[in-house]
Amino acid sequence: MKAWLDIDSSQIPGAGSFSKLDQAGGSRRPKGLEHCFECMLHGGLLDVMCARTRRTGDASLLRARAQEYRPLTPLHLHLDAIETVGWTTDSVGLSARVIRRMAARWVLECVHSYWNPRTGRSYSVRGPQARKPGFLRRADHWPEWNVLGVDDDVSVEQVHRVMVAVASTSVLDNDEDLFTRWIFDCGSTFLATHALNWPNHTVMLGHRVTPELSSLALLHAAFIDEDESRLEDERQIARCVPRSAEWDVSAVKVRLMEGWKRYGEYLYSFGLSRQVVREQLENLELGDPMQLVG
Amino acid sequence: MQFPAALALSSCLDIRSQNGGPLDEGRCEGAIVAKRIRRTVAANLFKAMVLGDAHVPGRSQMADLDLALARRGAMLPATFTEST
Repeated sequence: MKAWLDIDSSQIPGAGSFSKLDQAGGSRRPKGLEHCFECMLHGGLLDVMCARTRRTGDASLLRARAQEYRPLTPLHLHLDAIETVGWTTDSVGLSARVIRRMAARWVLECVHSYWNPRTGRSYSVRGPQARKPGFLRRADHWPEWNVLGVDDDVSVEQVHRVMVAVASTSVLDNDEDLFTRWIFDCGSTFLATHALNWPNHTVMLGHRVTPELSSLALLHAAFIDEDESRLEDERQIARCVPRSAEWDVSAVKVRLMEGWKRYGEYLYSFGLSRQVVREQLENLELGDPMQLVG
Repeated sequence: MQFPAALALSSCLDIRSQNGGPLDEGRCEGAIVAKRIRRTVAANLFKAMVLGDAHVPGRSQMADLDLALARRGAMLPATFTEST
């Protein structure tokens, strides 16, 4: 038998092996991540939503379960998004499509709660500045959303517009943790938005090429495409800019290209690749073919 | 809670198939693939977290992990060498 820890092993450990990981590595983890592996393996969004119940066919139960779910880290949420976009299994008396859309919406809610222009926690100032009254902190650090052309009350379904617009600001500068979060949350946003709109995305997003649709295409280029060529064309980014808004298109390009590079590195360090993520998208497209509406 | 970025990049141990191809042969349910993805990520994250820079060239990762855990007074779970 080959040990899974050997570097040339192509095998991954069985589920039983993981039950004690949290105990074995406990002292190395930051506070709050004591159940990191347990949550990663057995406590994901769809596990929680589709847990056994006698109330089969009850969509409100699944919605309530989703709303109680809190991902431990952006990586946990990203794994939820990957699982959601490939979900083609009917469960607890509901169709795969209903479950997938409900899960996708909750993934977007989680991203929205962190990045939305009105109350997003990612724009909080850390360090000495954090002692200032709230309205002053806001004045110092909050992006000028009206200049970026993003409404304060942008909807959950349009959070991808926020994620791209943020790249035009200095919010991500000098904060490695926040930049890492942005990378994972951008990836999660694309996957969840795709899962929410598939298979009738022309009905959900419209036929015309709008800044909203262009933002989604840009996230696809940055987090799904195998090479970064589509990001090199600044016209692609300029299409995301709403009318009368002002973006630093070059800065968006630089941050998205850095995001593309680092996302690939993260996936590699986890033993994954973009191909693995794309296969989940393909699984959805084969399992629930696109509907053409006349 | 923020994802500890340093953990993810402290190791590039790879448990994919050697040709870098897809995790699963053939197409199967997305949910099953998602479970394998979760286990793969957890395994790599765990290795990165525990091993850190403890790897000594020429020594197996299993030995590295045993020693790294022993130094912290922890033991390798008995089922750890189980394969799929």
